Amino acid sequence: MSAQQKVAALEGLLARIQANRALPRLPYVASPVVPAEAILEEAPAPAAYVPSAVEAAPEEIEADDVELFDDEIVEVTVDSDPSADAAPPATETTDFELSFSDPADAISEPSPSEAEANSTETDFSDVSTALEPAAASDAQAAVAGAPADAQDTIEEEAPASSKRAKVTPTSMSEALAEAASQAEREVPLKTPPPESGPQAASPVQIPAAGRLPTLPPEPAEEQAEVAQAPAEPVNTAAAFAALEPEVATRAAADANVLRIVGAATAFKPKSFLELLDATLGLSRGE
Amino acid sequence: MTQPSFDAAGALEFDLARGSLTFDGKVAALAVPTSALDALFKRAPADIVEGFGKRLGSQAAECVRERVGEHKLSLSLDGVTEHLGGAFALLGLGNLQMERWGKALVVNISGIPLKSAHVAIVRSALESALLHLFERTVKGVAVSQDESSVKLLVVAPDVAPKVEAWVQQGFSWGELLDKLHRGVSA
Repeated sequence: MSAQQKVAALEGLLARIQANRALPRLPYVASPVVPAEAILEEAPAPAAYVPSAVEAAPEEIEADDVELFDDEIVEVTVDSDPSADAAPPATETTDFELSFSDPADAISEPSPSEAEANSTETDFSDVSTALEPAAASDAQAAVAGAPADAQDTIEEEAPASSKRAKVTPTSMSEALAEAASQAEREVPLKTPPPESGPQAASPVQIPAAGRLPTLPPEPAEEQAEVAQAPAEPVNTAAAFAALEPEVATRAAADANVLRIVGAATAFKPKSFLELLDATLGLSRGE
Repeated sequence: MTQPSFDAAGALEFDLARGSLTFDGKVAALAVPTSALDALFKRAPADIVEGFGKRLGSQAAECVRERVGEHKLSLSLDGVTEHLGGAFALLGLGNLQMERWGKALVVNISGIPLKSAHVAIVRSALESALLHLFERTVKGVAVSQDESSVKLLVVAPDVAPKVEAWVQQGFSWGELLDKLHRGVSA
């Protein structure tokens, strides 16, 4: 689109805005109007408060809406509401005019019903989404026939009840990396069952005393290796027979000691000479 | 009956004016350091060593006889241990103790100061002492020993080679006593 076409579109938009401005406003019936002076006195506005984009000056709107196209502009036709068409009471109109004309009214944001009713303001707000607060965009999204971009924005937002944050890749490389990681995670971790299947347990046999339990037959290769090794027959019975209990040996020694002690008790020499003669007679009887 | 203890009074008399040393004032003695005897016995023949030990044993028996007199034949085991042990101690041969295992007489001598042929010397001394005191020829067989002590089993001279063979075969002390008492009527 050329610059002339853009200028023409903007001029058309300005003309519609001016025409819509001449239309009568919807009555403000949401809540009783509080005098602006009272609001300013009771709760002063914060210093960092930025006026809403809805109340932006026409010059700023024009400067920001340079990229607006005709096909992107949606004209919302306000249905003829009997209540809106009907002339509002004099007192309410007076209050509305007071609140609207009062500069302090800039700190009070319009209610959703008001934003929905003011269709003239929603015509150009969709093209300047970045300048509008979230409340205004929500109100516009609720309107039937909203642009597809606005609907996509709503759908991409995580639901309020969801606890998991929806991570959206910001670039193609991140998306590919995420897809690759998901593909890696999808590898099954379960080991396949053995092909042989479950094996039945062999019955347990208690070997006889002195015999070793028979081992299962080995494969042919292992038997060949064993045949090459020097044969060492194991005769456990002979090995056990060669062993003597250590307790039996000690018992014999104890018996000898008891025998000697008994003999020593029975023999009581009266003199050393008698003992000397007895010891000289030892081992001569064999 | 209580046995009189060994009286060592006057056993050694030192005459410093003459430069002499005597046993009981009768037998001349010589105080010799053991190192000199060790050097001598290291290369001395066995019969020389045994002769040296026999001389010591006869002196020990004379020492006991001087104190006991004719009561020597009535001395019990404790009495002989007391007096003969005293005489061995006076000669500096070590601490003598006697034990009776049934009918077997065992003599333990510990604290022997000699390093060379100490077993042969004390064994010969014991055999000589018993011969001079009781007129019995005995033989001491060492069943166990170390560098300063020895355990002697007193047996008849004709039985000694057999007992020595048992010791060489590694029989235990109990087995030796059993073999000694086997075949002997109570």
